[in-house]
Amino acid sequence: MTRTTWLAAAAIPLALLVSLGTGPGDIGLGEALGVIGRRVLGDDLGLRGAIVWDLRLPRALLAGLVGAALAAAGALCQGLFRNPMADPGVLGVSSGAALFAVVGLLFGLDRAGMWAIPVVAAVGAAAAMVLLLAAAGRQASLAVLLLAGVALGALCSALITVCQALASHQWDFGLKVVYWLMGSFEGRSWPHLSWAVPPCGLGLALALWLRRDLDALHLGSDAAASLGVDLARLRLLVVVAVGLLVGAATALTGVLAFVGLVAPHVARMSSGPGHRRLVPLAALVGASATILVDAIARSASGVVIPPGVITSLVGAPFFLWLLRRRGLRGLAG
Amino acid sequence: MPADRERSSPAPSWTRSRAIPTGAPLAAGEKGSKCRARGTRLPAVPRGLAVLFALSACTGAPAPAREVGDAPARRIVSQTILADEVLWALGPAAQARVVGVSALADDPRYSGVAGVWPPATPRRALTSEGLLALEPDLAIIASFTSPEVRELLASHGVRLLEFTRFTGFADYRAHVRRLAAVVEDPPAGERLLADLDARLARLAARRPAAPLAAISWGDGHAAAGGTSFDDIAEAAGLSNLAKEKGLEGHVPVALELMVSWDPPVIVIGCPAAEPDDPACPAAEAAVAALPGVRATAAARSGRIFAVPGRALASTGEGMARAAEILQDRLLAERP
Repeated sequence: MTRTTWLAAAAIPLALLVSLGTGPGDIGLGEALGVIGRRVLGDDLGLRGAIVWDLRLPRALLAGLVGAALAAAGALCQGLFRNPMADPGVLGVSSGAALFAVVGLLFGLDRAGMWAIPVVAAVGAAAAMVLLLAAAGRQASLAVLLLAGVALGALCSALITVCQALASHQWDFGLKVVYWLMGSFEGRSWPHLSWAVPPCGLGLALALWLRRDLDALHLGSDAAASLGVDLARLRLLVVVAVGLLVGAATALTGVLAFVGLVAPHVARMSSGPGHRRLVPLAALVGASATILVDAIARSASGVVIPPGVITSLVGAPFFLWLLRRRGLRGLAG
Repeated sequence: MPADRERSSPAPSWTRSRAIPTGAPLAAGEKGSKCRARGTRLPAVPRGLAVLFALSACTGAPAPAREVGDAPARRIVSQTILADEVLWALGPAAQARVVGVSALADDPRYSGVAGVWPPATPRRALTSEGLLALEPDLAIIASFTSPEVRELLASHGVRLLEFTRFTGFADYRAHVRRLAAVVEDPPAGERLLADLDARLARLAARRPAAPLAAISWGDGHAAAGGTSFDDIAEAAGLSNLAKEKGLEGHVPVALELMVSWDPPVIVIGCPAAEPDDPACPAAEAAVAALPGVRATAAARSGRIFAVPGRALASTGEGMARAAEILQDRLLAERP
C-alpha cells in the first residue's frame, strides 16, 4: 500500500470518531466511546447505550460500507467504459432496485418488517442486472452495454413515475417513496449491516481482483485482448461486481447520488489512472466521505437532511470544479 | 397528505368568479375590444411576439375573488375527506345537496365515511373536467388543488371553499358551522357539535390525574404544538411531548432524537379502520423493533399505541375517536 492509501485508510477511523460523537441525542464522543467499551464488556447501558450501540455505531459502519461499495463500483464502471462520466447508476442496477422498492412500498410490503424493502430492492437490482446482460448479449460491445444500461435505467424511472401517478392519492406512499429515493441511513442498525456485508464484501473482492484486467483495458480493447484479457468475461464480472455493490447499497439505504462518480476522481488525483491503486483508494475515499456526510446529516438538529441530498450538494459543485480544473480528458487520467 | 398538515392561512376563504358567462359578448372598452386593436405592420418574428403578448393580455389574470360569506349552495362537490364526513353527518338535507365526494371518501385508511355515501354519488378526483361535469355551484377544494383547476372552476361560476386551518377541535367546530350554514341547516351543525362536546366531557371525566407525556411519531416526523394531535392528547389525558420540547407543527424528529427524549408513550398510526385490526399490533411491533426504541420507557412499559390512521390523522370527528382509543389503552392498564 502507498502512503496515500494508508492516509485514506486512517481517515476512516477519524470519520467514525466524528460520526460517533455527532447526533441529536446529546452524547459526546467521550461518552460514546465509553458506552461502546462497556457494551463490548457486556454491560447493558439503557437508553444512552442504545443510542450509541444500536443507532450511531452500526449506522456509521453501514455508511462506510455503502460509500466504499458505491465508490468501488464507480471506479469499475469508469474503467470498463473508459469514460470519466460513468457512474454506478449507468448500468441501471440502482434504478432496478429503486423500482422494486417503490413497487414494494406501493403494495405495503414495508409493513411486513424492516427486512422487506431491502430484500425486494435487492431482487430488483439482481433482476436489472440479469435483464441488462440478456439485453446486451454476452458478446456485446461496451457501447451496447452502456446504452442498454441507460435504456434500462430510463425504463425503471418511467415505471417509478407510473407507480407514483397511480397512487398519487396515497399521501403516505408518496412520502415513503420520496424519502426512499432521497437515500437515508435513518433507522439502519446491525441487521442492515449484516445484510450488507456479504454482497458488498464479495463485490469489493471482485473489484480488487479485476484491477489488473481493467488496467489492460485502459490501453484499449485490442491491446487488452493481445495481453490475454478475456473481454467478455471481464464485462460479465464487472457487471456482476457492480450489481452486487450498487444493488446492496441501494437496497439498504436508497439512492445516494454522486459518491460513485466523484470518489474515483478524488482518488485518481493521487493514484493516477492505474486501477491497481485506484480501486482500493476510491473505496477508502468513498467510505470516509459517506461516513462524514451521514454525520453532517445527523448534526443538523431539528431537520432531517437526507445524505443523498448532501452528496449531491457537495458532489456536483466539486465535480464541476474538477472538470474546470482538469478538463474531461484530464479526468479520464 | 393529511389536511391538518396544511396551516398556511388563518381562516377559511370563500371566492367567487366574475359573473361573465362563457361566450358572452364583451362590452366596448373591455379587454376583448383591446385585443382586436391593430398595430402598425411589423416584421414576421416581432409580429408573432406582438400577437403572443396580445393573446396573453386577453387571457390575463382573473378578477379579484369576492367574499360572499356562508351563502347557501344547492349542488356541492366535496374534495376533502373532512367535508365528506361532515356533510354526511349533517343529515339527509345536507346529503341531498351533495353531487360528488372526494376520491378518498371510501378509503377506510383515511376516511371516516368509507362505504357510507350511496354508490350513486360520484367519487371524483381533482380533475377539472370531472368536477365541472357535476355542475356544482360550490366546490370544497383542498389546499393542494392546482391553480389551474381553481381558475377553471372559478371561471365557470363555481364558488370555491377551502379550509386552510386544522389545529384541533376549535377549527373543526368552525368548519362544521360553515358547512351547516352552506346547506342551510345550522341546527344540524349544532347537534353534531353537541355530540362532540358530550364525548369530550366523557373523556375529561376519565382523564388520568397525572398525564403521561406522549409523542405522535412516524416516518421521522412528530406532531408538536398547534396540531390536531395536541388536542387529541389533551382530550385523552396525555401531554404532547414534542410540544413540551418547544416544537410547533408537524416537524422532523430523527429516530435518535425521539429515542433520546425517552417518551413514556409513543403514538403511531396504523393502516386499519379499527384498532383491533391486526395491522395495528403489527405497526406497534414494527416501531418497537426500530433500533434504540426498545430502551425507551414506552417500549419497556408496553405503551407504544397504534391508532387507526383515519382517526389519528383526522381533522374532524376522528380526533375524538383517536382520543377515546388512546384513553381506553391507558385505562386498560389499571389493575
